Amino acid sequence: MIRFENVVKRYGDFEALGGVSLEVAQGQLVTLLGPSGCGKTTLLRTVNRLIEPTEGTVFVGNRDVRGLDGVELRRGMGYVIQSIGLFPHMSVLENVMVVPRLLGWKKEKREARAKEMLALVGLEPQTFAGRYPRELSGGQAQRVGLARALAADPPVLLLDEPFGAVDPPTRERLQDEFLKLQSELRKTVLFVTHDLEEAVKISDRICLMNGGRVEQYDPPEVLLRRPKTPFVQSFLGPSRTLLRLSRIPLGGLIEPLDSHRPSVSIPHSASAREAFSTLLASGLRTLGVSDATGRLVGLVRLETLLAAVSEEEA
Amino acid sequence: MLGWGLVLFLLAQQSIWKALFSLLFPSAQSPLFERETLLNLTLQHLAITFGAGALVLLVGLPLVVLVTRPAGAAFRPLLENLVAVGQTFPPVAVLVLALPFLGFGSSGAVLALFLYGLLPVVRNGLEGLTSLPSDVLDAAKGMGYARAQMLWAVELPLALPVILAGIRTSLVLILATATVAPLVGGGGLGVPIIAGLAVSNLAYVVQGAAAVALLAVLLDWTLARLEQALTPWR
Repeated sequence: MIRFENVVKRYGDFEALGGVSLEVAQGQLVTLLGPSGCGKTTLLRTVNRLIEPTEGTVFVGNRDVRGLDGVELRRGMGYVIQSIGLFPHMSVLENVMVVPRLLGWKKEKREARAKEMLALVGLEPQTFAGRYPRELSGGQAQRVGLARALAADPPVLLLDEPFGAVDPPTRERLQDEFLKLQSELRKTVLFVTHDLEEAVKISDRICLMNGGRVEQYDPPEVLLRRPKTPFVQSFLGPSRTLLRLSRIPLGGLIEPLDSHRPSVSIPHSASAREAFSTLLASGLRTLGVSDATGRLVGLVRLETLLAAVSEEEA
Repeated sequence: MLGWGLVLFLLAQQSIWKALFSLLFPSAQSPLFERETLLNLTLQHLAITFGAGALVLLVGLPLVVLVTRPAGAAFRPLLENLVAVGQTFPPVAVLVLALPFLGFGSSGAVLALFLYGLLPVVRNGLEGLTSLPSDVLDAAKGMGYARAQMLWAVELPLALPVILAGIRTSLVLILATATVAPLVGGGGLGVPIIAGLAVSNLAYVVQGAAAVALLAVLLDWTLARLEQALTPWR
């Protein structure tokens, strides 16, 4: 769906991108991960031609973007930046309607669509439609930004640290909701972040970049298990094992209940990492697992978790 | 609106003014300027002010937009210097210099005031259009606004508060300075002031000055209200 072929971007003597080749399949969520200045935002912005590569080619849906009109191209892609950039002089509803209006949709159609989008990102249209951006909290503004990017139902989303400016609990909630949305909408998403945990949590594949080059491009599990270069190893750091637990669903590790009733339990939907944290915090060796109604359905042993990690290690 | 009606009504009460000024200046032979009613002088004054103000907007704002586009950026320093000269050049001197071309009457005054009032509008316009939040512009571009659409739908509305503040400063400045118009045969509230100076009648001077001050306060207030109404999002 999106393909970079040997993309180079130079500013004078500085090489921001040193020949990036990468392919993002349709419906995949790929994060561009790396330290500041690694070229991840530059790479993202070559897709909607906010930046023109010095060399190389970017393809979207098998068409060279240089052959497409920049304005038309951008209208066909959702775009969210870290500071969101909501238009302060427009109401929330008008903000969300921007792209449909640029595309010439009829008033009723774009209004209905904008309200639908607000509801989709968890903002009650009746409450929020008429507000101005200065009346929103950080998390609400991020949601409006996402609704605005989704409004014209673009097949591609370009997200540049979209959850970077909110507090950690809000960020986690936004990530969860975004993942849920993505599982329904199946957009092709390029997602820039410098937050390893965020990347591990949401990605189908992670493209870890450094100095304008791709260090490794793999699914999170593979990246965490087999770092290819010393840079990747040091970027992932000592917590990579813990992070791997976060990609293991608890489902396969649950054992049936025995006579012993664990005093602490976690929900069935939690990750192995949450189970591990809970075990560490409580000092126990077994943990109850409850279903959606709160009923105990099984248990997880510390040994099982440890075995799961080392199995993966092998 | 109500404020303007009230002030114009008050200014039309010629006999009340006469009584008031007789009281304030008991020694003056003729306490009230009576060659023209105060109301007429006010209307002339406003006509000159808004004539010059309209010229300022019609010329100033398009120039500002032009030099803030990439194509016109080279002319920006020139424009800034020209409007600065326009304001530092004394309006009285412009009046006299324009006399041979524009003749006697209000048009010379309108020209002088136009040059004088251009600076705040241009300077604020430039400030407003060049200090827009870069993230908003980036988002606008990334969402597919074409250049002209971006100017109309994003840049101008966002710069509006600063632009309006410039217009307000400019109009109030023009209103006060329009009192020089009678020097070249124009009308307005400068007429009693200058007549008063000529015959050493303080009462005439106070009449003209007080009326101008009243109008200036009212104009400033009106434009402040307009700013609020046009930018409900702030």
